[in-house]
Amino acid sequence: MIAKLELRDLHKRFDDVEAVKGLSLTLAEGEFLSLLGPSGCGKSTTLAMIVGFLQPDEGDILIDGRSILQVAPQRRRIGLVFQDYAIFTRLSVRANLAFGLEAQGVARGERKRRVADFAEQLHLTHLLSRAGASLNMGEMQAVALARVLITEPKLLLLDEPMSNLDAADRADLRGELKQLQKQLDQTVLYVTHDQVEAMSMSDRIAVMREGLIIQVGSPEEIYRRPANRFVAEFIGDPPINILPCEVLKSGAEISARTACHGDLRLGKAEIDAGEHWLAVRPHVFRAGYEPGEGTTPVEVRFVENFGAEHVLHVEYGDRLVRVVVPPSFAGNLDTVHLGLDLSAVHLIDRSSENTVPRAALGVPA
Amino acid sequence: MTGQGTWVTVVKRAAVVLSMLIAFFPIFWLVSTSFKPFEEWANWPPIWITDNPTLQNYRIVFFPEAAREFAAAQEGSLDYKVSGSAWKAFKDSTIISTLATLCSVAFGTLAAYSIVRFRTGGDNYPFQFLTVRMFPPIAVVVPMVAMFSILRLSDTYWGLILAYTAFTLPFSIWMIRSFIEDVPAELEGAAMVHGMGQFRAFATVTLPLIKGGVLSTALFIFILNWSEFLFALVLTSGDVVTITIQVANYVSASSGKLYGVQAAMGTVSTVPVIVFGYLIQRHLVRGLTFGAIKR
Amino acid sequence: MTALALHGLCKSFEQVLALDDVTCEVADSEFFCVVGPTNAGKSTLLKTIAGLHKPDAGRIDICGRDVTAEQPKDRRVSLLFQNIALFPTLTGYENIAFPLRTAKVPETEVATRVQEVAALLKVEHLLARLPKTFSGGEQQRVAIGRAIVQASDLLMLDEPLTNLDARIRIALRIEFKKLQKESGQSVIYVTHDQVEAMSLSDRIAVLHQGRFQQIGTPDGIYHRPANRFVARFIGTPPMNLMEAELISQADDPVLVASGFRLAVPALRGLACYDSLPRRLAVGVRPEEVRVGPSESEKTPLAGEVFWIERLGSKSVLDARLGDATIKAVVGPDHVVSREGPAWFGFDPKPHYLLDLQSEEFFR
Repeated sequence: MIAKLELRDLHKRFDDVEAVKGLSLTLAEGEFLSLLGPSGCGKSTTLAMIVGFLQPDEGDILIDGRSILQVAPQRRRIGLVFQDYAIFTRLSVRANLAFGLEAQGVARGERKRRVADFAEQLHLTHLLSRAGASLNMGEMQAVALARVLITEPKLLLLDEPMSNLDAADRADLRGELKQLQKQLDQTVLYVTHDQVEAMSMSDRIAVMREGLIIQVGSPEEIYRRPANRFVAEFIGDPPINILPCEVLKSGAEISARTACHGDLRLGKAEIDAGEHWLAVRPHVFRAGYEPGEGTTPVEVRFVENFGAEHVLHVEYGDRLVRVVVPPSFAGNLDTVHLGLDLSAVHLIDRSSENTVPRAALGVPA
Repeated sequence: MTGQGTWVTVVKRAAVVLSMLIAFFPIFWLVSTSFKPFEEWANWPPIWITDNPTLQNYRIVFFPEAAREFAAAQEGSLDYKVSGSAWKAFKDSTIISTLATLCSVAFGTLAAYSIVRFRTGGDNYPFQFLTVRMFPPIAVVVPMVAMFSILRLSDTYWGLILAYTAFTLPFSIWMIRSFIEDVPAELEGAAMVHGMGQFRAFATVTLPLIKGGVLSTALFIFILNWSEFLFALVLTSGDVVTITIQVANYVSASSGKLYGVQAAMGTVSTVPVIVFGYLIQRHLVRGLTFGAIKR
Repeated sequence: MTALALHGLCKSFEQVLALDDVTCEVADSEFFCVVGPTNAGKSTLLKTIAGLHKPDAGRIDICGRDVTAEQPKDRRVSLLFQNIALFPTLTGYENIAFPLRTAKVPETEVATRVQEVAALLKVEHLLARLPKTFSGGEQQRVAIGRAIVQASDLLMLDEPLTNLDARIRIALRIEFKKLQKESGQSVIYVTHDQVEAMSLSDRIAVLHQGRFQQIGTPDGIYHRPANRFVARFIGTPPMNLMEAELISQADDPVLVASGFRLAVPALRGLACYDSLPRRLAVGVRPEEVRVGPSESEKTPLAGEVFWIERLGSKSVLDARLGDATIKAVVGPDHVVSREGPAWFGFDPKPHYLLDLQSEEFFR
């Protein structure tokens, strides 16, 4: 089956900075794919090339199997919603929704009908007569979204559309966007720096760094099997803990020693003995009141209380490490006994910064 | 690019060239005429560039003897009596325009600050202020003359300075207001929270940032003052002579129609304005607030 | 001693009431968060405390002193603005040194202090440069440096992390906490992100439309919200609130809705039990909703999951239970892992019953 969107080996350079360095990606029809990366990684540049505001120096962009590089932006049938609300504040909400249809040459009667139907689908009917400028930010973004979706674009591009919204509005809009996308079977490319957004809505995530895609996979894959240190640190809230460790080999089996834990049997892995990293998610640590097998006492420096869970910041060697505990775990403790679930830790090679797969206890990594 | 695109470009370029020609023609004519000898001043068909350039006109402007010589040489055709040298006109204009500009900009800045930060006078005040300036000044000439004579301001430096300040103040306020608006109140707030009083915060933080805007406003006001004729004419009677008056003096019953001399004086009087503009050029730096403010 | 006491503070702009009878106290060395949606009045509150706005009514006491009539420069407070407001023509060094120089502190002391602060915030490399060359995070840190370089009675921070990438936000958040604990500085921290507020504060005040909805510790606000707004604002995902009818069946109180019918004997313990109305709303936190693949004693209620958000360490299930839409939080390896029918269960708590008229929880 032909991919809806294909990016082939895109390159883009600004003066002496290479913003995009050979980026390739495919999007299937109806797929929600997030381009996730820190500010300045080239994701917005990539989006600009897909829309047509920029021409790539090398490479090709294909929609439905045909190159669109020579097609003018307004002919590409791509919808774009970005950070700074693209609604016309001088028009009413109704006029905003009708705008794209009018541009496409849809007859007035048909326009009215489609606007009314769509507004109902998005629960925007009560806003139809309001002036664009009178809406709050959450409403503006919802209308911006509707204005684009009503024209049934081949591809919907979103560039950090929720950055200017309150945290509460963001959660609401995420749900609405996702439901809408599923209903309309709309192909979506979503650009963001917020991994929660990417994890929450995407069928697949492409993690980007300095102009290159580091890893593509489902949210679960990216979370459980990050390709390298960067991805491991980028995905997950609270962020993963990176612990320096010493790896010892006996035959094919390896074991690791960290500042507070010794003799961690990690199974079989292709890695040299020496100094490396152990990546441990805050949920993978186990905290208890009493000492147990493989636990070490550590001091609690801070507690973050999030209601549904607590995050302890404990002293681990020369650094602080985050440990998630359930709210029933009594607060105000100075010392806890810390253990870890070895099946869920990641071993990271210090020189390549890649995660090293391990076959532990007969269970494949 | 298709052929269509090229045609559009040609038309656009032609339009630009045409407007430039129209805009610069008067200046060209002025400079050209200033070098023409007496016979060629009012020639028809017009002589675009003279074949006999002369500095006679400039000499008449600057040197009283040259003026007298000229007047004597014209005996018989018309009784020319050329008024004294133009030095006094340059001096008077400089004093009046400079001081009037300073006053206008100083008061304008203070008023604009008050309007922007404290919303003095309400939201429509700046616009109301500007509408005052929209009626033709000639309508107030008579009351102005009367007022000035009562106040003993006629034919004095300060009289004209006051009049110019009053008439350019709406422009000052209007222009400087927009520059102050570009500077967020939080910058002054930060200075105040960290120990400065309001006015000191304004002077230390905001003023340097609007420096370029204030200077360009000053240039604009200066040009208005420098080229003002109507009030210079009615509010003075000889003790004070501005450049504009002096130029007018070269076309009169006693002087005759000394177009060439007028052109010379006109050319010379553009020099201070150009110099002023050049001097402040490096202060007109935009984008100073880039990166320090988040919007 | 209290660092700050506000009594009945009111402030209007034109016709809009920005602050409505705001009263609270901040203890010495306390980390006090004011949290609320945009335009709730948070920035106005900080600017009024700093003296940049004059309140229409009310009193402000800082360290026991009535400062309501005093100029900003006399109040000994420090304010970090939402839009940072670094002086663009001054270098990083000069920006941080600004409060000290204005106070005429000798230059040698200024230099020491600025170096200390710069080392703490890791901005030494920015001291000689102008703000326009800084990245967003760097601007933020220099602005923080300027706010903390001079000891003040009260440090006020207006959404200092809002403009930063999610990752930098999480990293800087804990730095704030560390700084505050080590210095013992009294802090008022304003944000729209309740996760930040919960993470950082000793006490939280929830602000909505200019009024404090509730003031309390993170635990207190989370487990005993005062009204619908607080219950839905604090906690991610927000608390589920389902409308139900309270009927009496054989002397036992029973809550009935289109999606459930639950006996709740514990309800009789409520002080106002006898005066409870017939229609009310039942609140359940998403992590307290039990989910199972089939009907069981723990999960007796039939529903349908229409969306699963897989967030790595947990999954959020969006489901329909009768007429109501609810969210439930389960572990990443939970047996219910696809959309479709599922079974739910929860235990309504007496203090999570909402009065539909007043929008407040019954106590």
